[in-house]
This record gives sequence, structure tokens and C-alpha cells, in this order.
Amino acid sequence: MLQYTVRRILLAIPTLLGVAVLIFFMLRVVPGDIVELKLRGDGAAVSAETLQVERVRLGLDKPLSSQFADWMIGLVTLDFGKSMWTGNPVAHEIAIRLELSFEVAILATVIAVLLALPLGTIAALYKDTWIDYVVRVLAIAGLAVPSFWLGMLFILALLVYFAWLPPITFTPIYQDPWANLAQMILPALSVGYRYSAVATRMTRSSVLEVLKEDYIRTARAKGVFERLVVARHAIRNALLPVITVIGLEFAFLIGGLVVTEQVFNLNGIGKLFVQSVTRSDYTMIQALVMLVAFIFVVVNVAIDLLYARLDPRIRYQ
Amino acid sequence: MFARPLHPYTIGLLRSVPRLDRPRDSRLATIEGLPPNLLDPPSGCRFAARCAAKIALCDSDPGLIEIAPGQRSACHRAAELAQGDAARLGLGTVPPAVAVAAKGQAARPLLEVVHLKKFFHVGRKGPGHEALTVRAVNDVSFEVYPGETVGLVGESGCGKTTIGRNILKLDDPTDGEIRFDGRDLAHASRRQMQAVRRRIQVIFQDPYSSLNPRMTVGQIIAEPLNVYRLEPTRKASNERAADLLGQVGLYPYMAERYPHELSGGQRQRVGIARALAMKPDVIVCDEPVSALDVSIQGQIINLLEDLQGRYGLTYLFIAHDLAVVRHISDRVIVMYLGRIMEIASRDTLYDNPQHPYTKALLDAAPIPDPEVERTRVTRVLRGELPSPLNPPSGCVFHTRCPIADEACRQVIPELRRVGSDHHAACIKVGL
Repeated sequence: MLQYTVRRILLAIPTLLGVAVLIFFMLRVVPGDIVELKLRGDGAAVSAETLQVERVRLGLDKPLSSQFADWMIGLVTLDFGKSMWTGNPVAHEIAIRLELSFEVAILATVIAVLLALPLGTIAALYKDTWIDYVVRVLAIAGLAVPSFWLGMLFILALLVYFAWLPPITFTPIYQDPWANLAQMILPALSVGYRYSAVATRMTRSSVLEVLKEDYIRTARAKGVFERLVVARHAIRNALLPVITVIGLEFAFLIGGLVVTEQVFNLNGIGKLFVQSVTRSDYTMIQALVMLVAFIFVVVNVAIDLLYARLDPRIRYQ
Repeated sequence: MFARPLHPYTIGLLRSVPRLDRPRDSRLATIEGLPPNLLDPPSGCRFAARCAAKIALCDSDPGLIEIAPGQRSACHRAAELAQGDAARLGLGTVPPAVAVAAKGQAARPLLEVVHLKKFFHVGRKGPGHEALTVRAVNDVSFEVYPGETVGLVGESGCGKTTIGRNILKLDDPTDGEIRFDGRDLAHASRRQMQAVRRRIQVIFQDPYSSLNPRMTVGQIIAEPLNVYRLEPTRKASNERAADLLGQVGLYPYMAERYPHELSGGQRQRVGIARALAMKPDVIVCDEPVSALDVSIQGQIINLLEDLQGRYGLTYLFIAHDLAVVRHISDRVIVMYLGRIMEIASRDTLYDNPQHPYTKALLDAAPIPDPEVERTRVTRVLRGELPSPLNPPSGCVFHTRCPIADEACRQVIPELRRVGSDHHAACIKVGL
């Protein structure tokens, strides 16, 4: 098991390397020049020499191969360089936003799991009854409604009925949990609802599948009470695909909440992502892509290890 | 190959097959032990470890050598086998006679199935869709007396498994009664059923899928003990689980194993241990050996017979293999398309079948002996099994029956007595 874990972690290196190569060269192919954007963006008349000086300062005049080599050396030593736009260290820019993004993702996951597991299971147990239909309609609605729109509704409703707006500045949870939750709970809810819809549907179909298994019939025949049949035999076995969905969705939330962050005026990774792309801020984009790829890899390994914990048939060699 | 096998393994396989053409006189011969571990195959003869005729030479690998024209065998002693009797090599020993407890027929049946019907509605509801009904079990009545084994045979789809499921209340009967020890189960509430569950247990066909892959063998066996608090402590139920493993020929340490770590035969033994844990009166055996290799099949049948002798168990043995049923049953019920065709005591049914369907089934079953097989007249049933959605009128078998006539299309035949302890549902069969 330990050996497997180590090997999986080592296998992540070529994956991340591939991502690095792809993002580095793709960025260079995409049109858009940070120096021009930065200096001439407002229509200012800046001489070509000044542009060239800035290029040299940012290292953009060197051949691609040596730029790539510099970046790789930086990555290995965990030095992500400085933002080409603001000049601040990339690591710092990301760090101040990562906490917020993580918190939204974790809250949304908690909400999704708390909704999806009971609802999905109940829908499966009461298949084709009104309970099932209600759950299914809720789930389909969750998939159909964009989470940012739901977020707007939340804000509008609170504003109209309670004349209340969530706080705008981010307060870390360890400073003032209430102020923090007041700001984070709405984005977490609006994202978590959609997220729970995916997980509910997965839970429902997975439980339905497992309930058809022969060992469920065995459990009933040997006289185990229905409640225990469901809790002990069905749900445990139905959990695997649900975990996969939850894990991948979690990884997506870290960098993927562009519009929702906009709606709630959250300064998160998603917003930084969009900013960096419009600015062609190479170092920032590269670091963000590597971060998201890294999170995906970590979540994937975690899911696989969790599989082995939950299913004794899976023993990795 | 069949008439004159020249390898101890072949001989063993042939001997462990229950025979349709012979009454049960003894335990089934089995090949002892398990197939060898492929990760670490034995050197020399692969079969030596399980072979009764093993000699020192068997430590070297025998080649596949031509012993007789067109017959090759990988056995150092094949030449001796070709000489004649395998018995001299220790391969022909007759297994000890089975200790059949004298089963005086008790006055009162333990289990009575009375006019049982189970219909399944298929097809979509609503306008434009025809409501279709599968008559899986249609008016079936029989009794099972304490301590006996009743075999329930028929082709797939004849309703035999549905009957088992109804007795276990995994399905609710559409109509009719199931009386267990005088009480009706068909209309029992869940709470009432819980009290009976312990006394009726089941062994399922597929030992691969019927055990929860997430639970250890010990947990699987101990779970109902804990649910019903049959043992005072968890520790006691774990001890009982270990004890049960010993009784079904497994090792107590296997309680820590997961089902996927066991072989098919071992898993089926786990299924048997689980059923035994509740100290049941009746065990419904739903094709318990049809997923197993013949050598393992013999071991499981012997185990079931031993346990019956030890605990006075009553079996309802559902199977499609007529030979297995002949071996294990006291009485046999033959079903076709949801109805009973014939009921008789075992030897009566096999030696003197009355219903044309029973005759056809017996004729169609192969016997692994070319000399016997050559002398048999094989009558093959014509036609296909009719759809249970739309069963034939009158006698359900008339579409395939060699002796059916117009009357058979009209009348649904009653089960009539055609001999002592012998009933058949056919208007053409008389005393």
C-alpha cells in the first residue's frame, strides 16, 4: 500500500511535467503581448525602446528554450517568479486568494454531501414514488440553473426582503467566524446546490444499482432489518462512484468559480485566473494552471487511496 | 475418455458427477483438496497432491504419452490404468455409505404451499400500453415434511426460484398461502416475519455475488447473530462464526478473509455456514451447486447431507440438474411454466416417470457413460418453451407434448394420484 502510494505520487511528476510543457508553449502561441498591453494598453505613446527594455527586464527577449528552462528551475525550487503585471511574487498573489477559494470549495462540498447522500439514498429507496420525483426535480433543477444566477437571486432576495448585503471584504474564519460565514455561505450554497445535484443523481443511481445486487438479497434473507440492509450493505457499496464525483468536482471548484466569484465580489483564484489571462500575465497563468493540475492530481490519488480503504477487493500492488 | 479414462483426475471427475441412472446408495465420490495455487504450481505431476494413486515417481513431471491408440495421458501409472482396474491403485474405493437417518414421515408438514400464485406485471402502465402479466407461479401446492429433502426441478423460467423467494418472503405472493409450522407467511407482517426468518434460511446459487464484498467472512456469518441477539456478546458471536466455519470444512482463521479471497467452493461453504448460524429448521437451497465445478459440487452436496444428518434439517432443494436432485432428494417436484407437472418419491419418479414432460426431461439429460448412452432412446422435446406472458390454454405442456390431443387444449389438468406417493398433472396418464 505504501509502495503504491509512493508510486502514484511519483507518477504525478510526468503528468505535471506534461501540463507544464503544454501551458508554457500554448501561452506563447496565443496572441497578446503583456508588454504592449501593460505599457500601451491605455493608448499611451510608448517608444519601442521602452517596450524592449521592459521585455528584457521580464526576460521575454531570451529564446523560448531558456525561458522554459528558467521557469522549470524555478518550479523545482518552488520559486514561481513574479507576476509580469504587478511585479509581486506569484506565490504571494495566489496565497492570499487560495484560502478563500479553498473555503468556498470545502463549504460547498460539505453542503453537497449533506444534501446528496440522504436525498439520493431516499430517492433510490422510494423509487418512482412522489418522494423520488421531488428529489429528481430538485436535482435536475440544480443542474439546469447556473450557480451564479442562483447567487444573484440569493443576493437580491436578501436585499429586498431584509435590506441586507453580505460583507464585501474577506475576513478569515479564524478571525471572525460569523463575518466570514456571512460572506461565504451564500456562494457556498449556490455552488453547493449545483454540486449536490450531480452527487444526488450519482448516489441515487448507484444505490439503485447496489440494491439489485445478490448480496442485498442475501442480507434480507438472512433476516437483517431493512434499515441495516440499507445502511450497512447498500450505502457502503454505493459510495465509490459518489466519491469520485465529489472529488473531481471539488478540484474543479478551486479554479473554476469565475462567474460566481464575480457575482459575490470574492477575490478568489477564479477571478485571478481571468484577470491574468486578459493581461497575458504568463508567469501568473502558468503558476495557476500548475496549481489546479496539482490539486487534480492530489485529489485523484486521494480518491484512489480512499477506494482501497472502502473496498477490500481493491488492493493495489 | 468416458468409457476408459486413463488419468486419475479424469476418473475422479467422472466419479464425482451424480448419476441420473443410479439411485443414491452412497456419498458422492469427491476429489479431495483444492485445485493447486497457480502462483506456485507443484513440481512434478500437477495432480499428485490430490491423487490417491500417488507414488514416489510422481514427483517428476509426467509427459503426455500415448497409452492406447488415440488416447494420451499424463500419468506415470497410465499403463497400469490401461491394464484394468483402477481400484487396485486406490482410485476405485467406494465412499462410505451415507448415513441416511430413517425419515419416518411426520404427520404434520413443516412447510405447506397452498394454491400459491405469483404474477409479475410487466410493461408500462398507462394508455396505449398493454398491461402484461407473467404468471411465474400459477396455482402450486405441495408440502414439505420435517427432516426430508424435497427437490424442485424444472427448466429455467418455470417458477422454481420464484417459489423459493416467496417462501422467504423476498417477494410477496399474489395469492395463496404459505404455511410454516401452521402459521401463514404469505400474509404475515414484517414484524411477524422477523420471528420466522431465523427458522427459514437460504443458500443462494451464485457464491460470487451473494456475499457482500465489503464484509469479512466472519462479519457476514455473525451479522444475523448480532441483529437477533442470538449470542450474548459480540465475542460470543465471533466464536460461533469461527465454530461454524469449522463445521462447514473451512478454517476458523478464514473469518478474517474477504469473500473475494476464497474460491467458489469455499464461498459456498461460507453461504452454508451463514445459513446454519441461525439454527434454522428449513433451508431453501436455490441451485446451491450449479455454479461450482463438479469436483467441488460433490463436496458441497456431501456437506449438505452431513449437516442434514447432524441437525435434522429440512431442505427445499431447487435445481435444474436432474442427477443432483436424484442424488439428494427424498421427494421430487417437477415444474413447467409455473405449474407442477409431477410429484413423486425420488426413485419412483426416476424409475417410473408418468408425466410426458418428466419423461422428456429424463430422456434429454445426458449420462456420462457412453455405453449406457448408446442404449438410450433420446426423445428431444419439439418446439420452444412458450412465453410465460401468454401460456398455452389447457395443459401448459400441450404445445410440446408428444401425446397431447384436443382435450389437452381445453382442460387444465389437476394433480391426480397415479401411484403410492405419486401424483401427475396429466389427463392422459391413468393408474
